[in-house]
Amino acid sequence: MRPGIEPRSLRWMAIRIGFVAAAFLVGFVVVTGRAVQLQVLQGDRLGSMARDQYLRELNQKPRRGTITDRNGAVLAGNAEADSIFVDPREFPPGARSRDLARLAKVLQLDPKALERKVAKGVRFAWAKRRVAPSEAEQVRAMKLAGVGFVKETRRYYPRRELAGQILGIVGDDGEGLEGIEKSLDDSLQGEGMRMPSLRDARGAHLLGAGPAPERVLEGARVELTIDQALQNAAERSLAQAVQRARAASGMAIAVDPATGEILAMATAPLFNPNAPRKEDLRNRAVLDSFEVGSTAKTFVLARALDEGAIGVETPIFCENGRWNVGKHTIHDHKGLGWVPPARVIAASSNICAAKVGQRLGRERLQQAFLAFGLGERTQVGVAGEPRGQIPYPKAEISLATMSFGQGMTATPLQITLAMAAIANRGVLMKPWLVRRVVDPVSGDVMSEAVPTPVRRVVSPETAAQVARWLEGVVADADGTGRRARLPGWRAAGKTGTAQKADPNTRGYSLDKRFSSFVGFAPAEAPRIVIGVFIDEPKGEVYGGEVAAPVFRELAEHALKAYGVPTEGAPVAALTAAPPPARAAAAIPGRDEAAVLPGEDAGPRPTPGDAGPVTVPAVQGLAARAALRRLESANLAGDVRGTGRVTGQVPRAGDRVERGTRVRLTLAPPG
Amino acid sequence: MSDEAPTSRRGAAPAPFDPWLLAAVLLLTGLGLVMVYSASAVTAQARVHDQFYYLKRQLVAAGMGFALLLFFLKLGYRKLEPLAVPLLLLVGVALVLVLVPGIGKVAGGARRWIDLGIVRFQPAEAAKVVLVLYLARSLARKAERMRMFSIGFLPHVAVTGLLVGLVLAEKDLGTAVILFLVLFVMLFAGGVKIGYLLGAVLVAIPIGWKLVAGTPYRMQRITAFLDPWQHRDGIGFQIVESLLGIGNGGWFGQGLGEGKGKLFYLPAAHTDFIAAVIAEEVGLVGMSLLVLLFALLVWRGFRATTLAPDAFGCYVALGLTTLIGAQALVNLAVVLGLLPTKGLTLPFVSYGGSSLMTMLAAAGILLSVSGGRGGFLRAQRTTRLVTAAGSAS
Repeated sequence: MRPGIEPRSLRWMAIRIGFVAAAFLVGFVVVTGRAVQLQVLQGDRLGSMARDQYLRELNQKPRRGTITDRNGAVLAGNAEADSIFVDPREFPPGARSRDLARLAKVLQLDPKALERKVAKGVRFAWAKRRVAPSEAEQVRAMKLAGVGFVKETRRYYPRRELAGQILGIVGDDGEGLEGIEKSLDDSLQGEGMRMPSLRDARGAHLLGAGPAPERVLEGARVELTIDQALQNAAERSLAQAVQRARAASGMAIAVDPATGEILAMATAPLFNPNAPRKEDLRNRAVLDSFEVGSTAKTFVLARALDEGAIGVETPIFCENGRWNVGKHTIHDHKGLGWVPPARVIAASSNICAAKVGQRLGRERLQQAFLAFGLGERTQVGVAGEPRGQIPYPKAEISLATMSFGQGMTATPLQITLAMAAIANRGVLMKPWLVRRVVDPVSGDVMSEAVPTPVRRVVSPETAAQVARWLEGVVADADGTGRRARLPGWRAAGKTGTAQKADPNTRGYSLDKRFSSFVGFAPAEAPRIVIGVFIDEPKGEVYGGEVAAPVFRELAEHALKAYGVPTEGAPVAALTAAPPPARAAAAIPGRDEAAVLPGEDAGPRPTPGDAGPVTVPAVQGLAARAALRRLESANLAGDVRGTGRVTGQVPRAGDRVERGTRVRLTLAPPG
Repeated sequence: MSDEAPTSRRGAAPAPFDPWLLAAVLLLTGLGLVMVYSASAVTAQARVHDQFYYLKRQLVAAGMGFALLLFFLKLGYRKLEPLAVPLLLLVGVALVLVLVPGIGKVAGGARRWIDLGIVRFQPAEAAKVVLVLYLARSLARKAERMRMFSIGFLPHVAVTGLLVGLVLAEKDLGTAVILFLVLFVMLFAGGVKIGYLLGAVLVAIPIGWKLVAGTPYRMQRITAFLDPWQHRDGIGFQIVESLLGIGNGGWFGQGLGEGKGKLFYLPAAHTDFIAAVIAEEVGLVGMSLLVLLFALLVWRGFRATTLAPDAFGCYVALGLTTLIGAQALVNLAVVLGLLPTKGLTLPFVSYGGSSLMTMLAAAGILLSVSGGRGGFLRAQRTTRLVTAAGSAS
């Protein structure tokens, strides 16, 4: 017998234990009910919240597309660079300030600014992105805890200054900020691929949550109309001319008159997008407008002739160099008497130009300029292009001065294109800078520009007559453009030396000039139109002196490169480099049967010159050297990638047609 | 009295223990091993570059725990009655020692472990079982005198209060709560007047409030519990992550190993919050299975309580069942956001060597009671049944 336990107590005890068991039962039911509530009733809501947290759409950013010249030479590519970040929590206690200061010193940063940045970021702050390899090495050697590295692609311009202002720059996150990089940013960036990715609470992305991309994404390849060799020549001679003339800046533009393609467009001082100096970034050839100056006389006389205001031989009296218009007096550089229009142009008489302007009248003078595309945007595809000012010449004196290009402004590109209309038998073409946009993976052409005529400005006959007059500028013994003469080809063009408007006196500056030479060659069948503009030259200021020599160098380079036969020795003088492909254009207007100048431009390289050549070995060479070697073997190169050549198709030693494109694959060394 | 009555009723050779009880324990431990691996692999890989690190340690603890289980099952609970008081003193000393810097090891901000060379031992875990043994012995011996305040109520409250004080000194609120729950249930069953118990609760409320409100981190837990979403980025983080994981599990779960909470989102995923990982990976189905296993264990525990041959066995079974069941329920309630967090493992399932070994040892003792065929509580009833049957025939 158990001592002292009543059966009644035992019964009570059993009942109480039953209570406890019942309480447990209630507990289990409550817990299960709660699980049902969370997992079934609220399951969708909680589950989607959970997925929001676990899953991140990971945007696979494509590699930025390359920009090449018309022959495939890479002007803008990509390279890998280290970016340095700081995780403030990882610094040893107390060492943070010291370590940050050391880091700032190596990276040439402001230590206080870095400190502030780090104080803001809880777990991550960029110290400096895309540093030079030497900087990265130095920082690595310091072995600082809390300092990390990330590989990022860096925009890389292998030809340094070449076409720097055209190409523009990209920002830290690979977004185009200026130039082609900006205007074609969408194509260059390409379409990203969004893929779901599993993310842990520390922010690390885990693999296996989405399909692996089958190929490296890459933005579109943009092929410019620029010919890098001509661009290079333009930049070099322009920079020299600007330096010689101690000028503020200079611009040079080369255009294919038949198509409107811009073959070169240089602005000096030059700009290296690898190490941008913002003050030189501006593509002044498109973005700045200037007093036009005497080149405008070309357009006035062309329209006057076209509209019958003057005849080919109509004599005009140039007042012996001095003419009063109202209270104003107009001077000529050199006094002339009665002269035909050819002399007016060749000697660049202001007085006679003003008289031709009078014959045209106010309305038709303004219309003349507008017809040549001055005063309207060229739509070349550079953001921020100005219209230029072609005012209605209300005052008598305005009618006079506008006739020789004062009191109106235009961009260098507008002036060059207007001249190109003369060279193109009177048809103004829309300029273009981008030939094609190509998908680098499939090779599909995503967009391709075609020559687009804007309007017929003058008849082909008028254009041809004006071209002959312009030839006199260069060829005549007292022509203002004598220094533009070419060895073996006849050149045509017009000089200009405008007084610059002085913003302070609101009149014309006494010593600031805008000097130019705009012309084309060969005169009878123009292949290239070149405008050279020197802003504020010192000392020798005339366009015929400071700008014409640049024209000569460029025209000679271009005509040689394109194999334009010299007069008298048409075939022998051919250099073998292939002429740039030219697109055909439909010309509107009255001259339906117009033949493009390019098509009767004399003999092209004959089949005999297009015999097979041997492909040279270019493996291991840098892009530039490889292209040069191909060029000297009469082949063109198509560059893919950056670094050194690792592969070529066709292979070295193969016999191929002259001018064949050799595809080069490049890879970073090591 | 009639110890023969049940035997004659069954006829067959008596099973030495309840196989259902053992099955529940084995299944829970097995489930725990699987889930500990699943929940800890990522953390283990990140911390010690061995994804099996926690699993290996848990396997060792499980092995040692089963050795303890078998040992106590063979030993029989009766042998523990004379050891109850010495063991209580031993645990008391250990709980004091653990507070001494140099002996007690700190982990997770709390000094709770004693390093015994091969294993680190947490005296608070052992205290739970030892308290049950002490109370069972004391209650069984006092029998009818349990109704007296100074004999049946005060000494037990004092001893438990002392233990709880020591446990609280280790910042182990969870164990403290469980110790009080066990005391409360055992005193209630032992016949202490309801009035005393209610009075004790009334007295405990302000003390408990003081404990919570006086400790910033405990107060934060209450705040976080009351509105976890409001404090999602701070103190409510753990409970929100737990709820998200559970909700994400849905009916059938994301699949074993496919849970995301353990990717550093859910703190203590393999220890206190392992039920959230189970809910996420095997869904409501898995959760239900888990609850059913605990319910089975508790049911068989109560069965052992009622079939215990003597008073000590009865109280031991009741105490251990309460210990395991209450800890499981409180843990699940915390994970499901029904109670504030307090740092309690899920018995048999959570990672933690001391906890697993203690629970398996407790299961061994409980199993040794479960072989009973009645005699203490059931004796009267069976006798009456037999009598009734006899008179009917």
